[in-house]
Amino acid sequence: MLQVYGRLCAYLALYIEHATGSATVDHVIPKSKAWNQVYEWSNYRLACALMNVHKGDVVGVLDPFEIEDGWFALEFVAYQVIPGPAATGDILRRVTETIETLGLNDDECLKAREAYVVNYTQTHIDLHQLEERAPFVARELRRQGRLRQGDA
Amino acid sequence: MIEYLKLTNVGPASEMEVEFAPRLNIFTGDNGLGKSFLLDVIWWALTRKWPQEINRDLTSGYVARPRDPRITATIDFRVDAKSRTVEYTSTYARREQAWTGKAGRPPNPGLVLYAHADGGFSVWDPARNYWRKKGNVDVQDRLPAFVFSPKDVWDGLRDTTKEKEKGPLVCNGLILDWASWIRENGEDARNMATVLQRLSESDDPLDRLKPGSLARIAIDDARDIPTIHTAYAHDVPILHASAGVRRIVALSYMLLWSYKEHGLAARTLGEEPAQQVVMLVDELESHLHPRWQRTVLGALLRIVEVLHCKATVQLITVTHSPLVLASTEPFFDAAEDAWFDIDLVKEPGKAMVSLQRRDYVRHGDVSNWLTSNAFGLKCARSKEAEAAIEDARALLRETSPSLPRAREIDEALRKAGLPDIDPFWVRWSAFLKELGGGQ
Repeated sequence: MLQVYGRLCAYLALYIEHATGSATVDHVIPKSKAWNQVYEWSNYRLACALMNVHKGDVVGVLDPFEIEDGWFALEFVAYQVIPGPAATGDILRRVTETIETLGLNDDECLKAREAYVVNYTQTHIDLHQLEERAPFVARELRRQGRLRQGDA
Repeated sequence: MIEYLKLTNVGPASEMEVEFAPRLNIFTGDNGLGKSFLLDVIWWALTRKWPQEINRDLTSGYVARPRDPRITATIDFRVDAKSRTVEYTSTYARREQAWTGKAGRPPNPGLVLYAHADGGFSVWDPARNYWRKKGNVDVQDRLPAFVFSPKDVWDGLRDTTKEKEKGPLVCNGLILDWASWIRENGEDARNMATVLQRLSESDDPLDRLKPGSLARIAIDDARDIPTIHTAYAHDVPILHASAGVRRIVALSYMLLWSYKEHGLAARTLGEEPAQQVVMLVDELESHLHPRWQRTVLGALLRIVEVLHCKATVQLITVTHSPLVLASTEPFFDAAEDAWFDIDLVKEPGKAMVSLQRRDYVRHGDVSNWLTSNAFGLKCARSKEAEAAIEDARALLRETSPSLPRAREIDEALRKAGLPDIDPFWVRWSAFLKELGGGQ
């Protein structure tokens, strides 16, 4: 599971470091709601410890696998996840709900994104490393034309 | 140790249920949601006595009363007693104004220690507070538990069950005991010095608490007073030491006193020392500097485990300190440890207190603990800065933020006293400039 996901949290799109208590496998449909699907591979998502707890037994959260381009975006001042240009109508409502429920803009998530952007901008890591460890941040930098000169 | 507790129509919620972990149990929650009350009930479940009933000088540990006197109130619990698990239900009898249950000797839960928030201390010792009347042998009534008010910890505790004023001294108190340990210069003095040093763990040896020489504090006080060695001055008599130092010293003394007396009594009775120790600590961090808040929990657990090396140790504690929680990150193990949060759940027209075991997540930075659901702050900053930054973030989520609004928020950020080199300025001022409002 860890290998297939490249150690990326399916909800936060951030790399999960090897450490005590990290990397948990999460059920898309909570165990408490559908016991018969507990062992289905398609019902698993890799989640970091924080997201796994925030997700809890909430079903309203968008499944990372059904998300389409442009539903989510990043703003690069406070590093918040915001609804993207393609999020309208019912999708906009579900996107906003997902951000809220998962706490995607909790202080510790903002700090983690900030650290990736700062380290990339100051050339401590290159675009390849950024794409590997924070693919959503890399995508949004590209989409908004904020990549380093030479990377674009 | 205690395994399970359920309160019905007692305390802050109509129902409260806890499955305890075998080693460490941490309770967090706002003030006034019943955390200390919960410790009182746990103490009662283990010993069947309310601390305040035994020592009227205590300012906490009162008898629990039903929320609604018209409805049945019960306390259910499961205790892992010596060699067996015992389930118990107690119902509040209105006429008698007391908790009733099965008659006969309650189960023996091992040694139970309770550090109260105000500096009082309670000890229930299976070798000294637990006995059975055999046939028609006349057994003298013993104390049901040792309950110390903060003053008793220092000046000694008398058994006042039979004689109100002049009952026999059952504990000499910290000042007399520690002074005589120092004079004897034996194992007790060494143990006290070690426990003190462990509880005041610090990288700088000068910050660790070290006993000094005995001193007098007044010409009309004949007592030799133990002192604490300091880096900056003469040894400070323990009575003049800071609240934080006195808290550590009192905790050290009570741990050692209960350990020593239990060992002596068990030997006299020809019994093995207790195989289980349960320690309850209210407001673990009270009066302590952040440096000590960060080490006290781990140190306490290790000390009790070392002193009672043949016993399993269960520690149940209440804290408001993010440092105490962060300090558990290296050793917290969900199989042995648990974190519980008591929350006020607000619904339209009413609010309810809810106690839940929460999934423990490591947050690393202490400020992340403050903004986690353990403490629920939006931002680990001043209230003013939080409001201004929340407004700024809301504006940044908008598709086309307005310049006048941005200027208003900029003003608020400056008024809120954000540090002049706060990282937030870096992107904020660039954003303002992009919007056409920067200098």
